[in-house]
Amino acid sequence: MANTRLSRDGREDARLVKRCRQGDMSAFEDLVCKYQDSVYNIAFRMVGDREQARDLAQETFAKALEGIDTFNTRMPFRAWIYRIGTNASIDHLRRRGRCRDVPVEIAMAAGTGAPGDNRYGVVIELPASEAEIPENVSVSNEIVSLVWEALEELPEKYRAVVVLHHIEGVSYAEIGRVLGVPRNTAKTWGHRARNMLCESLEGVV
Amino acid sequence: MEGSCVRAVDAIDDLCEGDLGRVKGLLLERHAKRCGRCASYLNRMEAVIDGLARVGRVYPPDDLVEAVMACLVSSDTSIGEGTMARERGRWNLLVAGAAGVGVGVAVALAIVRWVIGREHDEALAPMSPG
Repeated sequence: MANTRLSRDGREDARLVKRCRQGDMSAFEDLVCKYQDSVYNIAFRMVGDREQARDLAQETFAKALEGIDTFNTRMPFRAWIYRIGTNASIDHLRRRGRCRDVPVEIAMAAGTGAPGDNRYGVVIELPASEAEIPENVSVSNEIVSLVWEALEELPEKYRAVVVLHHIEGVSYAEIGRVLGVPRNTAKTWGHRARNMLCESLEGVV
Repeated sequence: MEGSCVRAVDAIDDLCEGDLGRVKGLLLERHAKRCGRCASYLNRMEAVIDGLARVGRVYPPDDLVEAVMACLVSSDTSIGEGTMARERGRWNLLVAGAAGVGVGVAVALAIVRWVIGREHDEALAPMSPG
């Protein structure tokens, strides 16, 4: 993997990693604080379950600490931790055998996405203007529900690309680093994933 | 699929990436007005992107950091262990290398001494009586 020029943020991460290697646990705690949101979000969007996402986030950071000596500080830490997190989620899905034991629940309540809420499901935030119109709300919900059901059926790597690109806003170049594939492969997977999601809406839209 | 449909699909892909230029956008709009299949594909793709965008961000539990740190502290994992092990390995290698060089030099000196001693003995041999 080619070395990349690190951003200011990436250099800061590299400094924290170096402190970590010298035994500074507070440096690792800083990294956990910084990446907990993204790592948890990726896990949750991949497995669709808060408790499992929490376990996967813990597993991700434990693996990161275990392998901190093997991390190349000239590479972005973000891509590395996303890679560990995504692979942990993919492994979990494979172990689970792609069978959902928890139904997708469309949670409309404003507090559903709040910390501590253990309800499973997709959090939808509708703009107030649309939410006031019941007909629009039901149509939107149906579409979002279908999109999410289709997302669950995607192959793990396609799902990872959709989660990373469309939800976490990660570029294809970085997704390539995360998944260990060339940028164009990641882009192709994203294109195919969107087409598969699109097919799920045939006859509805 | 017609050439214009291929270009429309390409433009829809750019739209999904938020990378659709103004001219391409106008051409797509014009094409969608007269091609039902592309218009339907465009609508569905917009719904997919909209559906993905409507998904709110979930927040990790408040105690995630504490839980992670507690889990790491309680486990046997200790940071810097690998680095220290590598460092120890490097020192061991260095000491072994130095010892090897020392033994080599000693053996070489012994050989030289033996050779010189032998030459010296040979040089003295004719001078000896009998």
